[in-house]
Amino acid sequence: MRRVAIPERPDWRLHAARAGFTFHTFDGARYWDESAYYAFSLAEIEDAIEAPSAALHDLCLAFVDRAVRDEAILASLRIPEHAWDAIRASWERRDPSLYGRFDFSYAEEGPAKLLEYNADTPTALYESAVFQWLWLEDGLARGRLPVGADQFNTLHEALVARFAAVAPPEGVAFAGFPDAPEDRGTLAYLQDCALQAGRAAPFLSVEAIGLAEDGRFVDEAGAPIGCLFKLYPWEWMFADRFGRAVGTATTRFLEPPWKAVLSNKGLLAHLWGMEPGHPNLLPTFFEEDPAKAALGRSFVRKPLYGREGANVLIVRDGAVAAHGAGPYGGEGYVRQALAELPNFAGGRALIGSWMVGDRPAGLCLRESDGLITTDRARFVPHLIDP
Amino acid sequence: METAPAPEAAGAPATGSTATRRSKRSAAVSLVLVAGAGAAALTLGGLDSSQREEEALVYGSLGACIAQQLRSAEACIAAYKTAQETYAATAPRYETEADCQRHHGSSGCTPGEQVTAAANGRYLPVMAAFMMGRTDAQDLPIQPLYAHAPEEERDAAGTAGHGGGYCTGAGGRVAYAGGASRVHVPASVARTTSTTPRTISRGGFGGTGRATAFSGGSGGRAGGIGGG
Repeated sequence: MRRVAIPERPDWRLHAARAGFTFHTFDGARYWDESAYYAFSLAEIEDAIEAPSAALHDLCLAFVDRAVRDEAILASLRIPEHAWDAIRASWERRDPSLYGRFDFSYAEEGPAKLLEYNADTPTALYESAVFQWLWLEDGLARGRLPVGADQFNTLHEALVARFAAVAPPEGVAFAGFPDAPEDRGTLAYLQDCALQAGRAAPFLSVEAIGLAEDGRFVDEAGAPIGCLFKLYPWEWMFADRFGRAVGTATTRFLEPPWKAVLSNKGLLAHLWGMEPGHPNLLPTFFEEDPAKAALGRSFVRKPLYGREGANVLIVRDGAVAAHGAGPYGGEGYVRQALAELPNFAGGRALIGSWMVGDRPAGLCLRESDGLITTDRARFVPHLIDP
Repeated sequence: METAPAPEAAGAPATGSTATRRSKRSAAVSLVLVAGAGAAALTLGGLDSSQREEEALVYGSLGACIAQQLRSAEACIAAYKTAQETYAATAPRYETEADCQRHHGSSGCTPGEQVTAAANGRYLPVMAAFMMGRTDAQDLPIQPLYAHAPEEERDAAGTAGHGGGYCTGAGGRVAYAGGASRVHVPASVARTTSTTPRTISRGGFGGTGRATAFSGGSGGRAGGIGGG
């Protein structure tokens, strides 16, 4: 894995506009950054990222199977009791999942280490599946990139195939906040994939979802929603006023309620408990667990719920090395061994490894100036060396 | 369908790549709606063309029906009367005027007691039009129609009022271009009627997200709220 600086295409914004990529810049700061790319060997991709992702996903499913039958586990994840039945039922029905993203710290010296599993509402999807792919094709066509370069990125084909396989014939409604451009862009892309799979794919604001007397969730027009994709995390769904209706509604969800068990940093402590010493796992403990002392004076403290690096605390040799602000942490924390992101010329690189259904489907890289990957991170494309 | 790769070379075999190696990337990436039309187009309905359609007539008034002479005056009068009766009995009930207006527009709602005593204290959409079959042979149910102007679509399209067309009491959408009375609607919409009024509460999702995303001290997410 290496970082290769390269002049950006002078007309990339035009390409972005043509491809519907509307959120490449936030507040004047670049999000899409093609002034460099990361190059991997095929062996790195397949052996260090792809195979471990598949294996970790299997381990995660085994954990869900255990968690739904053990209320102590659900309680440890601070999942409210009123949500347990919905989670349990969705797992017993084997409600299908659509996608997820593992985040890894990976440096050539050792195996990729799992930092967390964004199993519920991952974003950076469109730019991974589409614009990164277009960047490679365009770079190859213009002779800017090494002849024969490839990319680990079957996301688009996999998403369309997954919708075709698991979405009900009557379609899927897509809910999120219409006034959040990044979320809206991710949803628009997923709607596009569902359409290409032959499904109706209307958007509705998450705040416009209605609850009818008969216990069914309905759209703005009052029509029952058979299947709802929500870019809105389960812990918020459960905390909202309609949260208690999830278990009794006939509406099915993407991601299904059982994903709440995985999109929770407590997962990391439980996985370590199941497979201590696993090469792709970092020692992780709940903050209340005295065993956390084994981590010594260097560790990362993460809120059970949280996104984009908010409220993450990094302690190195007993001193605070980084601390992200944010609203999370009320439900508690885990403490994870420190696996600093490798430092390249452009910053700290975090590897996102996509899952679609139960299969690895591609890669994305985000660079941050600091130790914590936040919503200010830059998306940098990758390729596989010929 | 718009295929996104700009260069003509996309789709052709990559020159110089080793023939034995299986590609690790999608063979093609196509975008139906994200490219070109943009995300707003996704919210404007007309999504499933595979559904069977019915030809129906939509009128904003009894006079318009009679004047057009596509159906007999008697048929128009009977249809209008049926629609009015159906309206009072089955129109969606909303707990607040704001809930109703969020879906039907600022001029699309009325206090329930002005329509029927049974809807006292609730808010109903006004009957904006009625829908009947092109012919009797279709055996379509007569349906009252309501303005379909949900907040989100008003924002996306930059229009208000009837920009979103109409919806039925059962929630089906009837796309309606002003002026034309003949519409093609999915059979499922034309044949599904609402027999009992439904009370719908709104706004039960989203609150935790808004509160969390905008109270955090991190200044809010740069571009997202619910994703990560």
